[in-house]
Amino acid sequence: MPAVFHALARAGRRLLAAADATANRFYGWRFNPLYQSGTIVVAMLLVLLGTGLWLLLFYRVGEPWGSVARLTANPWIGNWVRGLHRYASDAAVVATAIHATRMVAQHRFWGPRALAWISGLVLVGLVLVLGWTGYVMVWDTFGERLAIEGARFLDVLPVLSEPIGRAFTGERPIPGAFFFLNLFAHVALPLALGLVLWVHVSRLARPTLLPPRRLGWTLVGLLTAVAILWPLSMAPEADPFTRPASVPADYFYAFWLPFSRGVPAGYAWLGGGLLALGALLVPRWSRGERAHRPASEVDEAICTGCWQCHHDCPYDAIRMLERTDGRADVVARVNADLCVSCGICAGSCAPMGVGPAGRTGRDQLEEVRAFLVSPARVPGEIIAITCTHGALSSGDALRATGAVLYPVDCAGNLHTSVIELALRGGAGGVVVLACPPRDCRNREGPKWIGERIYHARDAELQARVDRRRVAMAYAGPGEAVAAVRAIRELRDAVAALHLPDADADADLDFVAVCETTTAGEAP
Amino acid sequence: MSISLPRIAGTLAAVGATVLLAVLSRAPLAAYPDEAPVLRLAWSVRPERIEHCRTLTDAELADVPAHMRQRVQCEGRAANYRLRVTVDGVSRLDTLVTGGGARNDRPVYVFRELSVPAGGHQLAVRFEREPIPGSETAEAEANDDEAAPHDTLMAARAPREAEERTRRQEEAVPPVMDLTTPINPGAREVLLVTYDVDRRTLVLRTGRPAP
Repeated sequence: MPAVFHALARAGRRLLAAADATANRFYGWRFNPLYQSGTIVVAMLLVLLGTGLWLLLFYRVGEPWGSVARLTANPWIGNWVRGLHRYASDAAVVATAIHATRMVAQHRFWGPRALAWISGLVLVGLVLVLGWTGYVMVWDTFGERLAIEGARFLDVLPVLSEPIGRAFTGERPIPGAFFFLNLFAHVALPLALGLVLWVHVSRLARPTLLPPRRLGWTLVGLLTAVAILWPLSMAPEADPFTRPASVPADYFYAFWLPFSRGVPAGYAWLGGGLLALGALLVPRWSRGERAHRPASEVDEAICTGCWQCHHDCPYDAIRMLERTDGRADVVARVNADLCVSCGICAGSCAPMGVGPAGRTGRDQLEEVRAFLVSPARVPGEIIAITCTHGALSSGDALRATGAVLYPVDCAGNLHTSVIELALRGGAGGVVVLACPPRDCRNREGPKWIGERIYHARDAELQARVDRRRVAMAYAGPGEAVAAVRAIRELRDAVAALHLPDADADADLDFVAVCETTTAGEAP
Repeated sequence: MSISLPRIAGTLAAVGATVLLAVLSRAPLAAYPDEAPVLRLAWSVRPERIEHCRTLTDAELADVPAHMRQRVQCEGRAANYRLRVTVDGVSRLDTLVTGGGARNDRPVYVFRELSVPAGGHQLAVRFEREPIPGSETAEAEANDDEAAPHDTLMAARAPREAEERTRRQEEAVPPVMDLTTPINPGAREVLLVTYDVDRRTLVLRTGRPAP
């Protein structure tokens, strides 16, 4: 099963890379709706809340279809609001599907992120049930179809003394209590949704809940426009004495209906249960991930208690505690249960005292020193530091520019001293090719590396480094054009500087200097 | 301000995606592909209890806590029923129906849908209690009620017990119910055979307005 899952994840990655690259060309990475899938769901839920409260004013439990029909007939305060309510709920399902695909494809569900994965599945279930109750509320032919199918599933469970399906046979009018309960569920479930959403983001530092304002309002505008220009119409009222050939269905909520029809309810439960169980077990299949990606560790002798790693950690996994070694100040401590091994703390620590084993700032300097002394290096060449999950996928196109690639696990993981050392080691220029900010697997890598290079955020790129020889660009997987452009621009800029052929004055003992200084600073 | 090709393409893609969303939000779904009318049998009734009742002696009653004393004690089970449906004399359904619950003592719930050809037919539905050899019916227990009460408390309770047994008997479905009627369903029409509580018999209902 894991093999099948990994194959699906690979396919999802390829699909996403192509879709992301296209959307980035159309809208730019800031407004790429595919990157904002999670926040779009929240925005749509807010739209649903607003329009839902309005619709609630006109809904009558004793006259479900009639009250909705009156509302639908009113083009000013009814129809378009109902249309927006419906389309926002559909957009929420689409965005949820994209969000889940992204999480699977990018392997963002294992270890500490399992809580977000499982709560996300609960959210999906809640959204689908909410949609179900919403359509049943209308009590048209589609709502009746959903109700009958839902009752068929519930009636096989040995919990009800009388089958629910009996309510829809035509023996007697549908009891008002049914519509009241349905309405109650439709109103109460959003509260549960809010609670689970809070759990969903509870392990994130600084969770982003809403899309950029421009994108959010554009989406609402588009949905409103289609609701006005193509008004909703009412399907016929539910009638137990006729069997319509077809019903106007919302496939985002009734996608299962064509498959479930004709399947015995017990088998449908079994199939649905296995599917849900499989989805819940996804994080378990990736338990081995921890072995490859150990949690960050703090070298307490080096830690100066500056709080920077605590501020930068995207998962709130680092706490600052009182020292026990007699030194004043505090010391960072990593909670391994929350750490996803993103390594962003390694880039944030000026004295290089924190990070996952093998990826601390000191390890990075060791690696880049070995890279620079390789006989293959040519003085004055452009080094492109590429995120393995992003621009590296366009490796051939990047190499064709003459740049040499230096892959890193995440740009946010990169210690800025690596850039300085590369320049000292003879590189003409260094371009950091990070993933677009909303596409970072570690959430905030591109943001922090940009701050460190350009805005003196700790651990900042030192002022002595010639900024004309450093560049940064965003390029996701499959976005060769943006990456190639960034490399060429830097190459041209560096060429214009007329640097001496070999700038390798080049004190590759820089690391030792750095270490000595740091050790000296520690009290 | 120049409008770039990607921007135009992006706008078109956004509009297209929104329209696609609206289309899929109201696309027709085949609900009931079969045009044939349906005969729906749906009712819920309380089954008769097949009981053996006897009158307890004073000594037996004395062994029972005061609040649990009942002069007539009945033991038994709920009846099962056979449901038979014929259309134009051809058997379409012949099945045993039991009460709900683990002990089958909950109401009997019938829900069956049979496809019938459109046009005129003769429908016959029979719902009949299954005979249980050696058992007495609830009707028999009333005879045992004649047992005379021996004290004031029991004297007051005996009529209530008898009344309760009578009520249960009246609530239960009749031992046999027959419905024989001509039907003339149109395409996609649903005819409902159900139980009329007031008339205590099976009735046919349609969605057509009453003549």
